[in-house]
Amino acid sequence: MKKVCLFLLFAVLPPLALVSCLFDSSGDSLVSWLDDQGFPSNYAVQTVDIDSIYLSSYEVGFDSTPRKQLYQGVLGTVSGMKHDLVFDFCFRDKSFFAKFDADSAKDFRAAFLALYPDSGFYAQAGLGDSLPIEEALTVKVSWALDTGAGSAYLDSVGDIKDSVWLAGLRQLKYAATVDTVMKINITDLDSALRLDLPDTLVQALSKVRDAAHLQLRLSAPDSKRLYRFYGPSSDITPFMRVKAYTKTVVSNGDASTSDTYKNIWPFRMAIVSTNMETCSDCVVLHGGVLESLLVDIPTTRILSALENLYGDSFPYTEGDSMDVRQAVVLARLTMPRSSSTDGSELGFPVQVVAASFVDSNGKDVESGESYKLNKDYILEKGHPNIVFFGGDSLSLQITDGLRSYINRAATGAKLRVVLRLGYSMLAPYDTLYYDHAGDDDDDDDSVHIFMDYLTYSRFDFTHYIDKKMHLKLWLATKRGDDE
Amino acid sequence: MIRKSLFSVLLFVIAANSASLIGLDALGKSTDGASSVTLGRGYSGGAKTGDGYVQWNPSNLAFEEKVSFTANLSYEGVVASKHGNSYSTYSFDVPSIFLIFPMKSFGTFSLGIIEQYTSNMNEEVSDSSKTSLADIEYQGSVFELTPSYALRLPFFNKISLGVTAHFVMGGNSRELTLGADNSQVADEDAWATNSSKLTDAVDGTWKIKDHPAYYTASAFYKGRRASYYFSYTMAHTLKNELKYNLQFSQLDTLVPTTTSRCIDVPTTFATGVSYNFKKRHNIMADFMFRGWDSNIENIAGSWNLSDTTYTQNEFVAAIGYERDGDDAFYNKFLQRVDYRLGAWVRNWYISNVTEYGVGIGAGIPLGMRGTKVDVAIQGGVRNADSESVWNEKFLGITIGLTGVGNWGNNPKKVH
Repeated sequence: MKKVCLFLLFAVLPPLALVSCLFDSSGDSLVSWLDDQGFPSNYAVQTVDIDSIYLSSYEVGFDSTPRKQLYQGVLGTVSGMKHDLVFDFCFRDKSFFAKFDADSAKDFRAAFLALYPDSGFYAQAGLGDSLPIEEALTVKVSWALDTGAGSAYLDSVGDIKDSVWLAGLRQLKYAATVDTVMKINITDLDSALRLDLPDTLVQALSKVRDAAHLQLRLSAPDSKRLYRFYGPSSDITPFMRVKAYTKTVVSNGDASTSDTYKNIWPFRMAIVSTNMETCSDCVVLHGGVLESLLVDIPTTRILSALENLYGDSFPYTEGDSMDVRQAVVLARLTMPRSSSTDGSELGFPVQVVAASFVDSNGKDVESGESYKLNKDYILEKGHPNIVFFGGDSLSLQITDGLRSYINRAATGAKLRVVLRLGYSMLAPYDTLYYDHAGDDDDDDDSVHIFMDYLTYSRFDFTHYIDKKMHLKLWLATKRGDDE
Repeated sequence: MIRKSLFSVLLFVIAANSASLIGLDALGKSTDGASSVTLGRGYSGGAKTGDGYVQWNPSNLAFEEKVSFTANLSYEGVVASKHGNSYSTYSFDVPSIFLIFPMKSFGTFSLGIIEQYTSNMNEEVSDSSKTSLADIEYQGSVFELTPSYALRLPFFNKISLGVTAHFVMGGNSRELTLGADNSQVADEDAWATNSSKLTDAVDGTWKIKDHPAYYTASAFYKGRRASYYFSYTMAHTLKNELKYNLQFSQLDTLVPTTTSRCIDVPTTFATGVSYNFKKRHNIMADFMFRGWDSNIENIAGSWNLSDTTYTQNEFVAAIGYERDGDDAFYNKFLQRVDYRLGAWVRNWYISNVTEYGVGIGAGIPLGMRGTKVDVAIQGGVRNADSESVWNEKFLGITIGLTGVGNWGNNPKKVH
C-alpha cells in the first residue's frame, strides 16, 4: 500500500499540478472566443416610446366581504366608505348570570364596552401633537344574542371557522339596533374609551342562564374621522364589562362601593366596509379595503411599435408562437393625475401598487409588479408611483405584464393591469423603498418609509382614466446582426 | 500533506470546467465511453481481453472471468488558441461506469453507464473595456445505459459474439448571462437596466427518435497470439427537445418556445487486432469509422450563432502496446503493474477538426484479488481549420477504480 501511495504521489500528482498551474487564462480571450462563436458579451438596451395609449376598458371592483382583524379595528366613515366593527363574544358563567337576573340586581344592571385607541397608529400618524381628539360620536349598536348551555355550546361556537363566520355576517339578523352616544375624548395616547351599552341589550343579557354567544356590531355613519382601536390579539384588548349590582358599605361613616361584575373579552373581530359613494359613473379607488381598479391596455400600438423597431412581424406566429426573440427589461406606464391631497385620509402621499396578469403554466394569475428605483428622479421629484403628492403624472412599472403579454401575444393574451392604493408614504423623496428597523434600544436607527397601518384614503381617477397615457419600454433582443 | 494537496486540486476542479471548446453547440466532444485502460493505450485494444468493457467490441466480455465493478474519472485541461489569444479551462468527467458479471458457460452480462458526448463549460468573464459581464455555461452529456451480453460459441470457443443495447439518456443546457450595454439609450433612461442581468437559457433532453435504443453487435476471435474483432453499430437519430427562453430570474414565468433538433448519427464500423508477440507483451491496433452524411443542426437560436455544424467522415485510428502485469502476488510490485502506451488520430465529426493524441498508462494492483487502480495520462492537440473553431492542446489524467467480487467463484480451499 505504501508503494501505491508513493506511486500516486510521484506519478499522479505532478501531471495534476501541471494541468492546474501551467495553463493560464484571461477574460479577454474568452470574450474573443464568444465573439468567434457569435455570442455577445453584453446585451444592447433599446428604448421605445409608445404615445397615445387610451385604455380600452376599466372597472373598479369592491369586495365587501367582512375582513377579519385581530390587531386593529377601525370605526367610522371616511373617504366615502363606512367601516363597522363586529366583535364576537362567547361566554359561560351560571352563577354570575343568576345574580345578574336576580330581582335585587334590577336597579343596578349595566354594561359597557372598553375600547383602546391604537396608540402606535396615532403616534406614527403624528396625531399625538394635535390632541385632544374630541367628538360626541353617535354609535349605532346592533347585536345578535344566542343562548345555550354547557361547555359543548362554547365549543360549538368556537368551532365556527373564521371564513364561515365572516361570510355569515352579511346575512346576520340583528335583534335590535340602538343609537348610543359615545363621548370621545382622547387626551393622550394611552386613553381608554367607554361605550355604554344600551339598556335593551342589558335586559337581553339577563335572559342568559348559562352560556351565550353575542355578536356586537358598532357603526358610526356620521363620524368626523375614522377611529382606530386595538383588537383582541393586541397587548391591550377591548373588553365588555357586565355589572350585576353595586354594594354600598358604610364603615366608620365612610361609604364605599363595590361592584359585582364580569369582564368578557371578544375572541375575534371583523371590519365590515360599505361603499357610500353616490356617483355611479365615477372611477374611485379606496384604500384599506379589498378594492382594485382593473384596466385593459390596448396592445395594437405596442405591437406596431415593436414591428417598427425590429422590422419583424408581431405577434410572432412561428413554431409554437411563443415569442422569446426579445425581452422587456422594464416597462413604464405614465398617466396624468392631480396633485391635490383631497382624499388622503391623513394627508400623506399614498403609493399606487400595480399587479399584472401573467401566465403561470397555462393559467393567467395576478402577480405583483416589482418596482425599480429611478434614484435621480426620486431625489428630485419624489417617487413617481404615488398620489396625493406634487406633480402631474403617475408612473407605474408593469414589466412582468409586458413580458408575459409579448411572450404570448399570438395566443390571444391580454395586457391587464390591476391598481390598488397601498400604504401612506412618510418619506417620498427617500430612495429607500422599504422600512429599516433599527435596534430596539436605539430607535434613531429606524427608517420608516411607509406607515405601518393601512390608509383608508380615496383617489378619484374619473378625470384621468380616459386621458392619453404613455408607455415606455426598455428592450433587449437576441436577434443577431444579420437579422 | 497528500490529503491536503488532493483537496486543493479538487476544489479547483469544481471551480471551472470544459473538456473542449469545440462543438459545444453541436454534440460536444466524443468520449466513446473511454476508460483509463483504453486511454492509456491510446483508444486501442478492443481485441485484447481481460480489461473490461470496450465500447467497440462487447464480445470480448465473454472472456471475462471475474465479477467486477469499474468507475472511471477523468480530469483534463485544455488550452484553446486562435488569433494570438489563448484560453484555458479544465474539466472533470465520469466517462464510464460498468459492472461485469460473468456466468461461465452462460456468457457474460454487463451493465454500463457510458458517456458518449460531453459538452461542458462554465466560465465567467468580466470585460474591462465595457464594464459588463458575461457568464456562459454549457452542461450537456449524451449518456447511455448499456446492457451488454457476450457468449463464447459452444464448439468454437475461441470465437465470441456480443451485443450491446444503448438506451440514450441525458440532457443539455446552455445559459448565457449578460449585463446591459446602455450605449444606445439616453443617460436619463440608464437607471432602468441597473443590475438587470439577462439570461438566454436553453434546456434540452436527449433520446432516440422512434426507438428505445440502438444496438452494437460484434464478433471476436481470440487466438493464442493474434485476436481480431469486427463490430457494427446501427445508425440512429438522436432527438434533442429544446426549450428556449430569455429570463431575468429563475422565477420568470415566460413560456419558453419549444423545438427539437434531430441528429442522424450514421452507422459505426470498428475493427481491431491484438498480437501477443512475447509473454505478457501485446501490440494492438484499432480502427473506427463513422461516415457522416448530414450536417448537425446546432442549439443556436439566437445572437449571431451559426445554425449548422458541418460534418466530415469521422474515424479513429489507434495503435497501442501493453505489457501485462504478473498475476502472482509474490512477485515484485513493479512486475505486477500493467504498463500501457498508445497513440491515436481522430478525425472529429466536425468538419476540418483532427485530433492527435498519445496516452500512457499503468494498472496498479491493490491486494491479491484483482482489485486495481488504472491510471492514464493522455495528451495531444486538436487542429481546426475554421474561423470559429479554435485549436486546442489538451492534457489530462484518467483514473479507473476496479473492484472485484467473488460471486460465482468457489472459495479456494486452504490446506
